[in-house]
Amino acid sequence: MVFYLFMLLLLLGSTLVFYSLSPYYAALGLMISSLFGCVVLTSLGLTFLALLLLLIYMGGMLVVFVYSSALSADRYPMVSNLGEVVLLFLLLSFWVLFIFEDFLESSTLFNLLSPLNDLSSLSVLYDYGGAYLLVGGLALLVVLIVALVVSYGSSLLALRAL
Amino acid sequence: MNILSAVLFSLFFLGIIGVVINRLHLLSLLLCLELLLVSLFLNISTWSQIHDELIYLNFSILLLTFSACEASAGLALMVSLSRSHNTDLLANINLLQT
Repeated sequence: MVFYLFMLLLLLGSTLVFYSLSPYYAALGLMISSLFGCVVLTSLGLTFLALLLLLIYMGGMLVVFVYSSALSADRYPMVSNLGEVVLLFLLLSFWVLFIFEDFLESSTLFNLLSPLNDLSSLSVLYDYGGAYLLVGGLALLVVLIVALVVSYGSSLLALRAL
Repeated sequence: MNILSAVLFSLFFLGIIGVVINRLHLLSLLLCLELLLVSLFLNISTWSQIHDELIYLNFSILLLTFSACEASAGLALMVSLSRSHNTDLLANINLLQT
């Protein structure tokens, strides 16, 4: 039963991202979505992927998004449409509960003796999938240079503060 | 369909609709894109754990890496836009309009 509550809270976070007027509330909704996504992954037995999502995604990328929203969003954001967000969340949760027909097997959830599938599949990335690791690292290096070049810009446009 | 599949399905489609129909800010569009990628990560991970196909957990970790690449490229574009126009409102990107 608690598992269903966590999934409905995941849905609440996603409706907040989708339907909010200001990017501040959307970033909050994305944090709520990733947090309850971690809870869902932990209950299935993928604890390492949950840790990865929490540390790297929420602790790295979402912090960068919050800094960017401080840079570029409105200083005085619009009054929030929280009532409409809650109404959309209730509609989506009723839809989800109506098409819900079969149960997840109780052996897949909260299985304390589950094997560490995510760690053993990550080890393949270092052994046979070394090329994928190399390509991923090179892609991150390329994106670093892209981010520096794009945000440097040319000096031909106005408003070049920061 | 069980409830987990329904919630992850609706997460994916909310992300797609949020990217397509976007009114005000570019940053809202980038956050909906991030929601889309998080939903893909959760979908692939839960599907591979439930159906015991363990090679796709590896793929989902690489997907998270490339979503970080994409998010940083999009944020660099938004920072450049914000430095030129002092805002990221989509109504201000009208230099090429007739």
